[in-house]
Amino acid sequence: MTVNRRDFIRILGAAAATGLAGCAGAPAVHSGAAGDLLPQRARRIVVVGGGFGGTIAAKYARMADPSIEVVLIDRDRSHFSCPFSNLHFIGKRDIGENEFGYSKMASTWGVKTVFGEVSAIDGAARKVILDEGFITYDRLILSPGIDFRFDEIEGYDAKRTPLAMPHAWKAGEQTRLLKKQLDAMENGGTVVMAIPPAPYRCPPGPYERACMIAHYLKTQKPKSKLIVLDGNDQIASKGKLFSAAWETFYKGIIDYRPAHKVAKADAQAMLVDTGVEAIKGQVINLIPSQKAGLIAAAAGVLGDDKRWCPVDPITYESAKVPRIHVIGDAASIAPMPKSGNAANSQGKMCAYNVVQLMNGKEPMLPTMVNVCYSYINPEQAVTISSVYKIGPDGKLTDNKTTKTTANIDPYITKLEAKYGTGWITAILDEMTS
Amino acid sequence: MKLASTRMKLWLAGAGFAAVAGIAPAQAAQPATPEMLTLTCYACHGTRGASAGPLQPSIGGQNAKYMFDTLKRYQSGERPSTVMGRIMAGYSDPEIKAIAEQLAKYPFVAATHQKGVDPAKAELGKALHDQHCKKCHQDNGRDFAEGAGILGGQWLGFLKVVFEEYKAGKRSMPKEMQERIGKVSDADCDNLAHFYAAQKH
Ligand SMILES: Cc1cc2nc3c(=O)[nH]c(=O)nc-3n(C[C@H](O)[C@H](O)[C@H](O)COP(=O)(O)OP(=O)(O)OC[C@H]3O[C@@H](n4cnc5c(N)ncnc54)[C@H](O)[C@@H]3O)c2cc1C
Ligand code: HEC
Ligand code: HEC
Repeated sequence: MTVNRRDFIRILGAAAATGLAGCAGAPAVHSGAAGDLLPQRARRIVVVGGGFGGTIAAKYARMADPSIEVVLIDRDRSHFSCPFSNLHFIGKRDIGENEFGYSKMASTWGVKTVFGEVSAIDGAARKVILDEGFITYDRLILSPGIDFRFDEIEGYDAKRTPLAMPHAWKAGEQTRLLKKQLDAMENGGTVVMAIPPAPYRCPPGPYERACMIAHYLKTQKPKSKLIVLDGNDQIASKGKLFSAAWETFYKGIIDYRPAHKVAKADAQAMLVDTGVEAIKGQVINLIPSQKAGLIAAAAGVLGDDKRWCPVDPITYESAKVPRIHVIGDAASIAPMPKSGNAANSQGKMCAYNVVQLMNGKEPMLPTMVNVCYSYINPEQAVTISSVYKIGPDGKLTDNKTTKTTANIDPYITKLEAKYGTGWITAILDEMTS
Repeated sequence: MKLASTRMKLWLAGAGFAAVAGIAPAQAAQPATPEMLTLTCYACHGTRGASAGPLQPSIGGQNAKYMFDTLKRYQSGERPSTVMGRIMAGYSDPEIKAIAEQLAKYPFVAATHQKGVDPAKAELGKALHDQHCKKCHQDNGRDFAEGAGILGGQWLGFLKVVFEEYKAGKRSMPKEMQERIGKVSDADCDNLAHFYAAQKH
């Protein structure tokens, strides 16, 4: 039964790939027409964003109902995973290992992949607009991740500042750049890291990075220091655990300053200014405040905060525009955090329920899991985990399941670190196979 | 939007939520199918429970009763875990049963392509297995007789952790197995792990 169904999907996938030879991955072939890039012959789901949420939504929609066509669009032919990119700074995992492409999406699941920038979405006409033309949909799943609110920092130039003060909050070149700067810095230089106020992608991510940079300094540049300017009043996630780790491993290296929001940046002078004091760094990792990927604004799905997209917690359908579903970092779906594991769970639940709706059936009650690993040194990691369901009031709740690793006891944190490497292998494999 | 269906109210009650009269969910919805309930597991254990390794165990194709008992032992803390105990706190018994039965329908995919399995150690492990373990872990650990899970073809990284837990007395086991494991040295446990990991299906 299972085998038959899987084979069926494979065959279908192969057929779809042939039928699409001219256009899978190359909308430019159709350019000139500025018209319909993929005339619709079957019911269709379009997914925008081939990251943690989008790849999974595309794959699981095909699994739920292979008679529905799925088109996955990303601006890039490969994606760099942010999860585990912090390990690049201590040389434990090269950022190259975090890069993945989309070939099996087509060959295994029959997902049609299109590469190009989505510049607009016409929710009324149900069209996704790219430079070369448009693609129509019955339902759209948006998983565009985040973009930055550069205008929140005076003096920030969207092009030049990240080259001098990398954020490395979208992985890839930015991660490499920050590592290069750390390597080039003299022993004794000061590193400054600036954390934006929540909500931002990956609540524990900045504090994990502080551990990694501090470990690098401790072992490679022992005369150096790391100043952490936190836009939050306290450590935003796993606070007790990170405090314990900093006390145990990085005493005298990390200078943590809560409630220090950077208001101004001067990339030439290598200065960041909190409004109270200006701080100079040889290396500055300035992470700006965040909002949903820009396409969310163009699609008209932002909420009243003008930052994130309110959605129905069962179907992820936008509260603003029907037939557009938003998942991942871009969605505003408290109490879930903006994490890769959360986006993965949401992608699956959203895909299954979009298929239910397209088949005229009631959606199903979703269950989402989030487990986030943070390394505190090369051999030890801590996690935070939750299970989310719809509560009796129809709202999403963790039902008090949110728990962290109890403490930084070496036995359990070493085991967590081992399973952490298993987690990244598993989740990337799921997105690419 | 429609009011909550009776089915949803029943489901909520079953899931351990106190059904609050008069408050309607945002949208009518039906309970998740067993298939949908298993999807979150795949982020760590692989699509349909076929793990990509090298640490997280494959969970597809295990015996449904063993799976249910294991998940309940994680939930109660009887079996030690890093994350599984915390995750299982979010599931009701009927959900755990549905998950266990659904996963049992998928094939157990042996980790035949895994790196690091040492044939010499596996050979030493085979002799130990035949002597001490085959009574319960039949067919070179590929069978799930006597209420145990499939060991043959499991990921080496996971098996090593399990043996460390047994040796350190962190995890309970049947009395007879305890006697047998007691006779086996740490190095021999490692050989046994290589033996089970080396099994093809
Ligand atoms: C340093 C760091 C560490 C992290 N560690 C963890 C961790 O350990 N565990 C964890 O669970 N999470 C972690 N995260 C969080 C995780 O990266 C995000 O939550 C996750 O990537 C969100 O998935 P997404 O699908 O919403 O967005 P993304 O994964 O960012 O995917 C968005 C995709 O959409 C594409 N796109 C956007 N707009 C357009 C457009 N207009 N046209 C075409 N394509 C478009 C982009 O190219 C991109 O490929 C970390 C994040 C950071 C920065
Ligand atoms: C975040 C990753 C993660 C998720 C999600 C997850 N697991 Fe696990 N699982 C683990 C880890 C890690 C272990 C090893 C025990 C531990 O340390 O928690 C494990 C062990 C197991 C085992 C023991 C296997 C054996 O043969 O002894 C079973 C069974 C299991 N998980 C089932 C599930 C099910 C069912 C789900 C979904 C409801 C699930 N897991 C979700 C990470 C995960
Ligand atoms: C009396 C029967 C019996 C004997 C003999 C026995 N086992 Fe077991 N074994 C079991 C049962 C039952 C379980 C499942 C127990 C549990 O989950 O708590 C188990 C579980 C295991 C597991 C864990 C599987 C997992 O996925 O977590 C390993 C590994 C194992 N046995 C190895 C051995 C080895 C090696 C020997 C010989 C030295 C051995 N057993 C002898 C019955 C036995």
